[in-house]
Formats: sequence, C-alpha cells, structure tokens
Amino acid sequence: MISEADLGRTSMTLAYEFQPVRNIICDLSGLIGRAVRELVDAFYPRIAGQRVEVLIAELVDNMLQNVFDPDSAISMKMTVADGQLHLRTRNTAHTESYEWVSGHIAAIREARAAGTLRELMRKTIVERRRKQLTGGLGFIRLVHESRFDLEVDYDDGELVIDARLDLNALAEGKGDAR
Amino acid sequence: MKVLTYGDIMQGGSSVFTATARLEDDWLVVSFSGAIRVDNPHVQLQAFIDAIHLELKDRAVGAVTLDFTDLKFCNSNGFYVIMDVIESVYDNSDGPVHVRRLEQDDWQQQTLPILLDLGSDEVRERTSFEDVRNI
Repeated sequence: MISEADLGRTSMTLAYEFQPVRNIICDLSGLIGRAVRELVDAFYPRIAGQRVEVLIAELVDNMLQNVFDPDSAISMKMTVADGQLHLRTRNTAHTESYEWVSGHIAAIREARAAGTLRELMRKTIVERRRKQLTGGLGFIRLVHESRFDLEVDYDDGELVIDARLDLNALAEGKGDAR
Repeated sequence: MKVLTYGDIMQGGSSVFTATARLEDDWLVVSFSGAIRVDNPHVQLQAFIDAIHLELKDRAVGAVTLDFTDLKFCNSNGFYVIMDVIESVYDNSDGPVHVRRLEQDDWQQQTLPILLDLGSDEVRERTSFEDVRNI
C-alpha cells in the first residue's frame, strides 16, 4: 500500500525549452502550468500543485513579456527531490533587466526579513494601479502569497531565476507559517 | 435573481472566465468563475466594469455577496480587474459585504484581502469572510 507520505517522497524532473520565442503565440504559461499542476497533484499535497501553477504562470509570462532577442530560447527546469522543489527559468536578457530584477527581488527579500512584505505588496499594487501599469506583481506575489524563495543570477547573457519551496513543510502544515 | 450584467474572457472560442452581477430585492451577488490567465484582461472585461458601475449607481443596494469560490486561478494581471469590480461594488452600496472564498487557496486567503483594501477602516467594518472548503 502506497501512503501519502510515500507519494511525497517521489522525486521528479521536468524540463521545457522553446526556440525561437517569437513562435510562442499560444498560452504557453497556461498550458505548462496546468499540465505540471496535474503531475504535482498526483504526488504531493494539493497546495503544492496550486503554487507550482502560479509559479509557472508568473515566471513564464515574465520571460515572454521581456523578450530581448526573438530568435533566442526560453527554458524551464523543475526538480523535486528530498521534499524540496526547485524551478529554474533561463532567458536571454539585457544586463539592465538583470539589474532591475535583482534589485526588485532584493527589496522583496528585505521586506520579508523585516516582516513588511504584505505592506510592500499592498503599496506596490496601489501604486501600479494608480499609474495604470500592467504586470510588475509576479515576483512579490510568489514570495508573499505562495511562499517561494527567489534568487536571480546573470549567466552568459541569460537571466536565471531560481524558485524554491519546501514541500516537507507543506506536508507538515507549516507552509503558511510567516 | 435578476442578472444585472456579466462579463466573459474568451480564449480559443470558449469562455474561460465569467463575472456575473445579480440582484434580488436589495441583495447584490457578484460571482467570479473560471480562470484569468490573459495578459490584459481589461480588453475583454472593461465593458463589464463600466456596466456594473452604471447598473449600481442609481440602485439601493443593501447587502452584498462577493463569491470567489468558483474562481480557479488569477494571474497578477487580473488583480486590477478584480479591484475595479470590488471598488465599484463598495462605492455603490453601503451595507455589509460578505466574501465567500476558498479555504485552501493562497490567492484568495493572502492576496484577496489586499485587493479588497482592508487597510481602510470603512471597508474592514463592512466586510466579513466565509471560508469554504475546497472540494
């Protein structure tokens, strides 16, 4: 008999790569997000699948909304092992993009450490709505709402974003601990 | 209940998201179902946002129910649409607002209260939540 605890110890690796990005005219984040959510739901607590779908939607949309070279590729790799989920996205980007994302994620991490993340999210939403700006909420949402830990790097002309989530904590009901 | 107005997001020839405003006597129910995944949901939902304001501005709305329990997904571009609808509802009513949301949904538990602007005393005093178990 396979128990839920047994299922939660399953490891999996998934990888997607698409090139050229200019050919992506479908709802790519929705297609991948829904498919991966179903896979994750089959092994891990339901909240994990829900968070992975949000993660993929925000990170894939972010890559597609900031295309620098239409001939370039975007990629995503997700690994679950030892109860830790790690998802990495890579896309060609200007150093300016990296600097902006890096500063944004640093501010989010700082607010989380200071216990002011909710207020930062509220202020960001209000400010962007007032200016009628779209987007700009994905990273903060992933950290505040879905409890992901985000890191950013710049490697060989590519923006690399790493997102991590402790599935063991979710299984123990600690995933919403703030 | 009388349907006052509704809005849809269509993708691939099918409706993937629907928002509906219904009224029975002075009780307004605004429900959201499906998923918001598109880049700019205002393109398809601005007419609904305008219509709900027009429908409500001269009516005596008492109690309000905002029902999110059939909303399966909302990307961050959808936040502003939800805020526009919520703002119109609060501005055009003065009674209690009952929010039905899913118990196990990060967006509905963590972000929705921010979109409702629960930082405002007036909104907080009028708002109550009912957490519905996911099926």
